[in-house]
Amino acid sequence: MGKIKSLFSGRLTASMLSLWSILIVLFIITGLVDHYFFTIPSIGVTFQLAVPLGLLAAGQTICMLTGGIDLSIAMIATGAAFIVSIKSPSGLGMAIFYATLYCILIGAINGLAVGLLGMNPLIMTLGMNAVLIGVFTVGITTFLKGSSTMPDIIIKLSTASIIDPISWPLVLWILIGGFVLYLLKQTGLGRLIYAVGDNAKAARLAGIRVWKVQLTAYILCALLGGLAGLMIGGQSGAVAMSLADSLVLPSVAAVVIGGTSIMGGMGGYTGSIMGTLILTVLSYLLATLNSSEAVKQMIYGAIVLALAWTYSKLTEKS
Amino acid sequence: MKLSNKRFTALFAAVSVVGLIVTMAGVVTPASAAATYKIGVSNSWAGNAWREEMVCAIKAEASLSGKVAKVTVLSRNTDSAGQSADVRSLITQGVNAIIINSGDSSANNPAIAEAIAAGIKVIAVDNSITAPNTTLVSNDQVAYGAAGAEALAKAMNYKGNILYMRGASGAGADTDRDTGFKSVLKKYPKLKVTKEVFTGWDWTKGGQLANQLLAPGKFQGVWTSGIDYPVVQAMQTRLKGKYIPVVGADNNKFVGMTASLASKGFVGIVVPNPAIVGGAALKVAVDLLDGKTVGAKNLLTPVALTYAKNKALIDSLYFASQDANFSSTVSLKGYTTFTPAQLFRCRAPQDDPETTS
Repeated sequence: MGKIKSLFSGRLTASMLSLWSILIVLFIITGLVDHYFFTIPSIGVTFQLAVPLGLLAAGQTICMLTGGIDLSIAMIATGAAFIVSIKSPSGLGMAIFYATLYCILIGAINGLAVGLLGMNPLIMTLGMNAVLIGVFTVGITTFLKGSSTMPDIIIKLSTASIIDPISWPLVLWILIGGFVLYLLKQTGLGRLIYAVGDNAKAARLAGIRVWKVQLTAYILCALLGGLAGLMIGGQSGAVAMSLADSLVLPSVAAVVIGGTSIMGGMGGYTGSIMGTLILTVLSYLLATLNSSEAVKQMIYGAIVLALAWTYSKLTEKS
Repeated sequence: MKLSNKRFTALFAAVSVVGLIVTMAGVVTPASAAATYKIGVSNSWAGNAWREEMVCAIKAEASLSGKVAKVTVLSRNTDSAGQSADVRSLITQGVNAIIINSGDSSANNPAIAEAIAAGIKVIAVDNSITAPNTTLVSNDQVAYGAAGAEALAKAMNYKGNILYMRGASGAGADTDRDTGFKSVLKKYPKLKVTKEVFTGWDWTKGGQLANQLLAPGKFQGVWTSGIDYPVVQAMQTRLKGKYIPVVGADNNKFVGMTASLASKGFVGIVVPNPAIVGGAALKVAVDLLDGKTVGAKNLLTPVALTYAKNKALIDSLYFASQDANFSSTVSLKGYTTFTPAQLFRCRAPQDDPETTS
């Protein structure tokens, strides 16, 4: 029991406290602007909409802890959704099998390029994203023609509530999030991920096969990205090229706000969960404000910058 | 830049391969000796189903016109600087006419002015532009906004709260639709827009916004700028299967839902925004190159359709074989000559070796 408690609460440090207070303040402001926000169904929906970002942030956390980053995560997510959409008429099992295969393949290419060939993760994954955009742009008029909706069961799993505010996607997030927390904090692989991110050279000298750790990290990240893609497809009911575009930067921002160092080796998923919830409430608030789109973008960007900056100042002190 | 070129090359190669396969399958249109015009297409949004269909309509109509030798499509996701670069690239390639679907109503004007100075006919399709001496071929977007608003007002019994889901801020079509929409709303003081959001014509974003914003009793109607069926889908979970009227476009799935959910009390208002307006733009381009007189504005007038009034028409607009977001209008009287099959084949003149000279 003590083990489980330490998994979920973490140490309640000053930084964690500040994340909580930011979330609570944002929550109250949003509720004051839109009274409906405080109702139970609305809280349920907010949690649901946080899940895809939470999963993407989980992948990004793992990558960033090794000192990497995955900017191809949008097209991994979009690709997985396209594959499930086109393959689902021949059985959901097969569809998910192919999508999993796709995620593993892309994750493995990313991981091998970064781990074995020493490619810069930023360049590698950004390049991979561009390649995938090309493939799927051709795909939607050829081999992926006909894929624009999600199977009903996935729509249900990404939107249906069990008892408000508990919904299927939330349950899924708790399970997978719990697994990621456990993986990072309690397993050997978790320690290796931190070790590689902290000092890859020292890790190598200590006998760790650094490339294998990086390979695993990118594959895990791709799998989490793929799952997020299915959720996004399920929530919007539509599959399109721009499926996960708008979530790439938030996925990085959620991790950074949550206190994981972009240089690797420091941080964890608990912070990313907080980052995810903060960004989700923030985007709800912005969608509620009746201001122009440009102003909303500016507010969003400014708040994310301010949060990341404040947080890095706070962690410097502690 | 480099990657975008690669993307374009990949797209072009794939289109050519498809064309070759179709040709080998024995589908060949008669060759024409008079096929000389070179048409350039600049599309600011690649990978969007509506825009792909628009491009296919241009290609199919060009193949059938017998007067076009080549259609060069520069289609990529880009900002105005990138699209201006594409326009300049088409000028360098020596096209006779440029059909442009512009991401911004004025930012490409300098490049367009250069094209016109070089004697190239410029036809704006779908999104209007402010550049002088250009020809517009588009759905009448002001009328589009108005027709949907009028039908929505009626379906809501002229009172209640509207969720107003616009397109992309700054796009010509969005501004025009807003003008039309607001002109109608002014007439009915009991109708209020209580929430205005931009979907960016992004299916994902539209669906998520609908999921977030819809709640029982909060709205009595939804106007969408074409991101329609995810909203209906969101109602199934958010409003527990209760439906409020939704204005959408002629997207295949929305058309299908309008028909199939009518018995459950759903009022779908279909306002066609045909992607094959591209085919009409091609015809106008050819007419201009032939020296015919064409008006500066060529507008299709959309009419709002409901299942109660236009059952047969709505049934005929649903294509079970096509994608959810396929724009179901497949012919425009006086403009397009292709059959649905020819539209689906999406073949430009140069894809068929027998018509290239």
